[in-house]
Amino acid sequence: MDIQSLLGILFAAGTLQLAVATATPIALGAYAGLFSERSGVVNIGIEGMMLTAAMAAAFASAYTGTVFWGIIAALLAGGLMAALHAVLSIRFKMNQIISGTVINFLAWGIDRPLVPGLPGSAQLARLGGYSAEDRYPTAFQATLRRPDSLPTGTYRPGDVGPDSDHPLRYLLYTLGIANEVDWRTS
Amino acid sequence: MEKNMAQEATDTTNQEPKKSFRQRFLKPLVIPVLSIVTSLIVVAIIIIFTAESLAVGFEKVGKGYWGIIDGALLRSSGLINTLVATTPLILTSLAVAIPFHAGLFNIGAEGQFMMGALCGALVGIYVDLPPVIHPIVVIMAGVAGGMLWGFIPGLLKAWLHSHEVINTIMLNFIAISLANMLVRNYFKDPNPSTVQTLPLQATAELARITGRLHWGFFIAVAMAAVAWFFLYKTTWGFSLRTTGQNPDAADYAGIRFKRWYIYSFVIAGGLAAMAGTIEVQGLTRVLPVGFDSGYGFDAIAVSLLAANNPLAIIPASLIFGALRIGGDFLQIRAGLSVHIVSIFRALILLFVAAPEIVRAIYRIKAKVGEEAEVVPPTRWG
Repeated sequence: MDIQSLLGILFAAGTLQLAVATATPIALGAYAGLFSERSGVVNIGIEGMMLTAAMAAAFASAYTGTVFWGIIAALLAGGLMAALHAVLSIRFKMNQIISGTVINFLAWGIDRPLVPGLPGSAQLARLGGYSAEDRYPTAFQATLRRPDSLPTGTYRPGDVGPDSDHPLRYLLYTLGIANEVDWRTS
Repeated sequence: MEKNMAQEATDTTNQEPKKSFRQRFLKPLVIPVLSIVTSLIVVAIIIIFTAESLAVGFEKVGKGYWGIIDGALLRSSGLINTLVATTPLILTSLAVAIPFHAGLFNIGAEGQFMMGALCGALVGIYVDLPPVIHPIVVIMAGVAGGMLWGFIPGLLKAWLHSHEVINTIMLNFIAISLANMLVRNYFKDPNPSTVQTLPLQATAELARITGRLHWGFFIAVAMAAVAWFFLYKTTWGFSLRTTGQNPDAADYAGIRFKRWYIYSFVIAGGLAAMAGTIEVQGLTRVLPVGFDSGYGFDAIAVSLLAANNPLAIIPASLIFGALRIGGDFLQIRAGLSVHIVSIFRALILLFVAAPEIVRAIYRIKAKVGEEAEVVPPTRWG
């Protein structure tokens, strides 16, 4: 492949959109790490927290039919896992790397048995049944990117592409700016 | 100098009063056994409350748990499969335990396992050697690859103080992707229906004893014994453990602790790689794409369950091996998800690493000196 076609692929509109969409969960996860690390907490359970939150969001938005409750459920589920991390490492004096590993194992164990109850079934039909204007649920598919957490055929990477104007993304930019300000003023 | 200091210190520890059988062998078992029992109870509660009704829930728990015991341990075919799964677990757990004694976390056993499988498989496929020498050379090649993979985080830790957890996690991704990429693009079997390497030469295979069980199991058990001897009966092992307990004291005693950071990771890499090589030689006899199956991550839980004692790792691996095989029976017999085993894994790890929870549940009083101290986390930066 010559350099021109490579650059052509890299700077194609679709690639950039997909890159922004793919970067969102990574960047939010990175912020999770940043906030933990700034307060001296070693957090290798971010993966598990994200998985649990994604699961909770998918369930909540499938059952209520609104994005709002999905986001609330995700926040609560992520916070619950973080609380577990805190209780284990502060109250029970567990090494933080081990309690992070516990959270990851736990999330794998909780999520996968639940997944068959969700996509592919009646609930997913409801999840996928949103109108074109209300595309938010695809964002949850972006957080559910683990290929083994969804039955094949329910997720296509292209689904996320046109969705680069998701409100969570603006939250992300705000976080970035806030952190930059914090960094420069401290 | 180094030897004398170490020798003196060993002598002083030997002068402690001899412990009774009860104290030496039964007391350390209390927390692990109670941890496993408690996890079983907690998972049973989860299953019962997620079932359609209480009666169905109890039936599922009974069928599922009996399925694990019956399927993984009582039937000869299940027992063989359990022992086959135990083999790589013993070696990867040793690869976690030895750096742990040096105060380091090795989350990279999975990557080292893959490097061993890759290097061993390539020598087994493309090098022609006579029968008895070939398997030995294959194991040595795999171990060398794993040692190199372990050397990288060790060197980075000792030289640049970069955190070994981050480095080993990242090297996992690199090793797994590298192996998959090489198999897919360069060493693929020309037969279009399979994405795997050519089969190993017959001379490179480890013989099977019965069914799928191969001699690798005994190699793994022997390595556990060697690791125990190394850690507790040699000056090297003493230096390694001193490094883990207090690097400053080790430095003062003339132990070059930075070197032991590197050595412990090199040894760990070799052991995890041996698991990968043996798995290829004895079990699959080809290297397929997606060969990694989480032995390196299970190893963290196994190693903690065994309190990082190489000999205790053998029964602990057997328990996790049985859980791995039993997971299928959980699904077949009781219609439960295989991944419930992952909840087991998390809970056992949780209770073993936080014995205060178990002590609180069963009202066991901790002796002075047994209470957990706050472990200060080491930050990445």
